[in-house]
Amino acid sequence: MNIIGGNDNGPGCGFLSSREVDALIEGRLGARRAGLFDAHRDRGCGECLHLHAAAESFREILEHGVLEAEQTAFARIRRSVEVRLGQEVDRLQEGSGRSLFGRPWGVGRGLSADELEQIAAAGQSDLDEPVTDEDDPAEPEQE
Amino acid sequence: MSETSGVVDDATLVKRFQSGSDPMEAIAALFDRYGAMTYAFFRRGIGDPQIAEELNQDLYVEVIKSLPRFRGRSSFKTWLFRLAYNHLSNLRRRWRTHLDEQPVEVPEDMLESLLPGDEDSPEHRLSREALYLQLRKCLARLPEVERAVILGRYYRNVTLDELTRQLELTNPSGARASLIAGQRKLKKCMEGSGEEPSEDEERRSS
Repeated sequence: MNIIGGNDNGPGCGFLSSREVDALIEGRLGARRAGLFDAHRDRGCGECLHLHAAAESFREILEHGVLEAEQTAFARIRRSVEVRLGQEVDRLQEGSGRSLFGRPWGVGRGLSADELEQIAAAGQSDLDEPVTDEDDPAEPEQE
Repeated sequence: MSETSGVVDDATLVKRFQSGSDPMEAIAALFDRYGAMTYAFFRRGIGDPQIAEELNQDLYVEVIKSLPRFRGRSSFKTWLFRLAYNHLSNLRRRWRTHLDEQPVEVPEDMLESLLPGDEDSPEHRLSREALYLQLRKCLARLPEVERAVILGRYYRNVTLDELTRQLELTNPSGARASLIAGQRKLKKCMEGSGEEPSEDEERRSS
């Protein structure tokens, strides 16, 4: 379930399928569906207005790059994020009883239930891979 | 081949991460490629550099945790966008800035602040329903902070000081600056029937 009025199809209200959302983000949604999506938003669907605005912004950045002020601000914080990511990779490698990366890393310790669940899910073989669209990132958290 | 001119493509980096051959190098390369873009996405979408920094860091921690399950049914960057969008949606939910959570009735004082003084203007001739739909389209294009301040101020009668505190705004002008900026953008958007340039386009042309 998506946050408000959404469904398992992914972001938006479900008017666009998960594949169509990917196409929207990548700017290759077919003209007929794009027209219908425009009309749908014109009727005021909040989910899809948010999704469309975000997809436009993302495409704008992909196509035109970031602004100088954004690049400068990012450069200032970049190193600290890299350090944090390194810690996170180390933590998952050292702390996981089940392999995240296809090899054993030792006995699990100190991970949250959520992290353990993620690792357990990651350790599933392709044989028990769910048939649902698993590349869909987890839906927004519920409160 | 996935590697030309020394540039390794996303799919190869994802496979390297998943195989465990050198996950840190792979994630560092992906962060190097997309980190500034996702930071810009959050900064434009939220309107607050500090919160954008935090969300951007959280995003890549989430990437590390979720990448083992990524099977490449979409491109990495599309998957990354969807993950980033989820982070933005979570913020929107916490701040109660989702359009579908707002009352249908547009507050009168808000309309007054948005409509031109000239009562013969096209905006004044629109029906209430049309105005409402137009307003929703324009609100969706605002950064989260500005939308949060406008909705808080007009729809929930929260004071600007309280909004500054609730949103933990670090800007010295607090919510007042966001209110003024948001009103200006909304007014411009309403005059353009909801099709005014987005903030990204506006920023680029200035």
